[in-house]
Amino acid sequence: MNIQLKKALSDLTTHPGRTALVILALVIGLWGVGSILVSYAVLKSDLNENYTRTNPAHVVMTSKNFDRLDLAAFRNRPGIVSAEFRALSFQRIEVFPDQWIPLWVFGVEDFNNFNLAHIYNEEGNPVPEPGTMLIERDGQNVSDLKVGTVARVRVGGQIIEVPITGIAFDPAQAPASQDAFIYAYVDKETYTAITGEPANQRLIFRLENVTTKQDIQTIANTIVDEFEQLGITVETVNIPKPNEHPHQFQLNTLLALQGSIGGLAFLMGAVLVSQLMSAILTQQVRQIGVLKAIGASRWQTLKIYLAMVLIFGAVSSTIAIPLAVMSGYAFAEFVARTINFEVLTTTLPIAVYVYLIVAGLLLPILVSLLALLKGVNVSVQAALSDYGIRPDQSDATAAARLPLSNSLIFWRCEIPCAAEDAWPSP
Amino acid sequence: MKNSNNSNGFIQFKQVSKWFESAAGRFDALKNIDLSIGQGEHVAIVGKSGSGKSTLLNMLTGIDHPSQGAVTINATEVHTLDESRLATWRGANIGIVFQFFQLIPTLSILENLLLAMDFVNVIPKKERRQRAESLLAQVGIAPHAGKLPAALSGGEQQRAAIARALANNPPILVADEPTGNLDSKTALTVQALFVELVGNGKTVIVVTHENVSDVAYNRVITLNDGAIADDKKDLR
Repeated sequence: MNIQLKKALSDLTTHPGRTALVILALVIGLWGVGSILVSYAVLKSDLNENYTRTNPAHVVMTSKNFDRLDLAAFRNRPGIVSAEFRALSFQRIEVFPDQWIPLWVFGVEDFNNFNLAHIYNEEGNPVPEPGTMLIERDGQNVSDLKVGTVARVRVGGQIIEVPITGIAFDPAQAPASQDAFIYAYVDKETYTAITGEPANQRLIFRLENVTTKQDIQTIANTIVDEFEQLGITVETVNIPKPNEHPHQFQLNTLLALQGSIGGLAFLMGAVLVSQLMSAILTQQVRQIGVLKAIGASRWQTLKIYLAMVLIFGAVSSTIAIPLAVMSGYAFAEFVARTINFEVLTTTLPIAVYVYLIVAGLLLPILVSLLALLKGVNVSVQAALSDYGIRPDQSDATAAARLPLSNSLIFWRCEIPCAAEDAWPSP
Repeated sequence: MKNSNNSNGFIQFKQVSKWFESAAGRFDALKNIDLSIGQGEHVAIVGKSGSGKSTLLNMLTGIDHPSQGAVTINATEVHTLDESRLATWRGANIGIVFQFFQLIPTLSILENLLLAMDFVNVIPKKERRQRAESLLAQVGIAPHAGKLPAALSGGEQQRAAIARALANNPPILVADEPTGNLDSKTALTVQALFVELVGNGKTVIVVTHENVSDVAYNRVITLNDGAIADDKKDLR
């Protein structure tokens, strides 16, 4: 082993408590930041990936005249990727005895062929039999409804009993548990039977080659005009933010908050490292003077202490990075459950590991650099005079008693300076 | 007051002065020192505290720069070198022995020597370990090579420090009160070691408070108030 590296290592192992404290500070900081970075890498793409995989609609239009629309012809209109009716009615459902919450009932055209706003089967029948319904999985968190139970749905003043035959997962919707309502999915006939409303008054469609809400708005306006010419009066046009989950903003806010906390934790760890390095260097001022006196250049001296910080960083990274990956994934799973989506990222991007390693190795150096440079820049004379003057020097001259006396004492360490230099009496 | 000149001129001080400014005013630590020390001399620098002995050594080793004048050692103008070049030059040309040994406490005795060689890089890597062991044998502490400094007695540590000072085979050895912290028996051993080194061609310069008549110095320079008060040559 290189002897300079050996010195750095030996200094660290000589003070295991202090070394452990620095490593602990770095581990906590890096663990905190790493967890956030990992969860950010997972959540940032996964929520949108969950959303975009459903092939969400770019435009939602409602009209009472859609019976005049030739849906097949509309699907063939240039610029339309896909279109279908997805009726939506707002009713109420009993989730516990005599406890009613809002129910969003969707009328689905074809459960076997989702071209838009895909939902996924989680349990029971993927296709509800006529007169039955599927409920979205997150609704189970706010009710005791499950497959096999019969839901009581209140439509106007009437209560209708609808058996639940399946549980669906709809990643495009805001989580039902947060807003305390239930999503239900039924076929068109059942929709009309339950709600008493036609199932073709809400049209959803997806457009080609659009990236911004403005692009979509322009085309939607044209389509509204075309519909007017067909005698279809569009009542509402809703354009969700394209390819962004409705709760992405919430998630971004949460991640920013968590990132700030993690960043602060790391900053505190880094400050502690910087302070401890300053303390180490202060303790070793004399030794720095000795190193220089026996031939070490400033760079060689700096290298020894840089190696120390690098060792701190390497050990801390080795401990903190696996912890950060584990807790980052755990946090991502927790958030995914809360916002009702699936974690899809099973392999982290290499960049995440690179960032963590760079943070673990380089940031301690960066925060310590000033202290290190200050420490190793001390002149040999100042370093070797760091002892102070012998207190019992009764014959000290007037000059020796002057403030400048330190400049004159050179190597005159007549006070044993530290326990580490103590030696047995002959 | 006497100034000294030696025709050999291996180490030359020309009109070297050093003063310090402070709130209390200017303090002259060295005053117009002209001094020449030849190769292979065994020199004692004596004087009371505050007489300028240590400041003189600071100038000699390049640890401090003169306020005025020139210090030339083996044709190198030491006072003109910057800190980094000085460190390398010092490592190769001057071995320093401290009163309190100043061995690196976390490295073994052998490693202390290897570290000095590693910094200066004048001894080929392959030869370093063998040279270090040989030096430790020369100063009589070979069996302690693997021990930490704290495990050695004061005399043994000082001998280790001398071995370290010789690690890069410098032509000059300077020692500040090398025996000041040792018992008389151990001090004699160390002094004998210096005599042996002089016999091997080294220039050895020792700052001491002790009675110089007991030691075979061939030159004793006495400083008083920053000036050379006496310079006794050819004593041996």
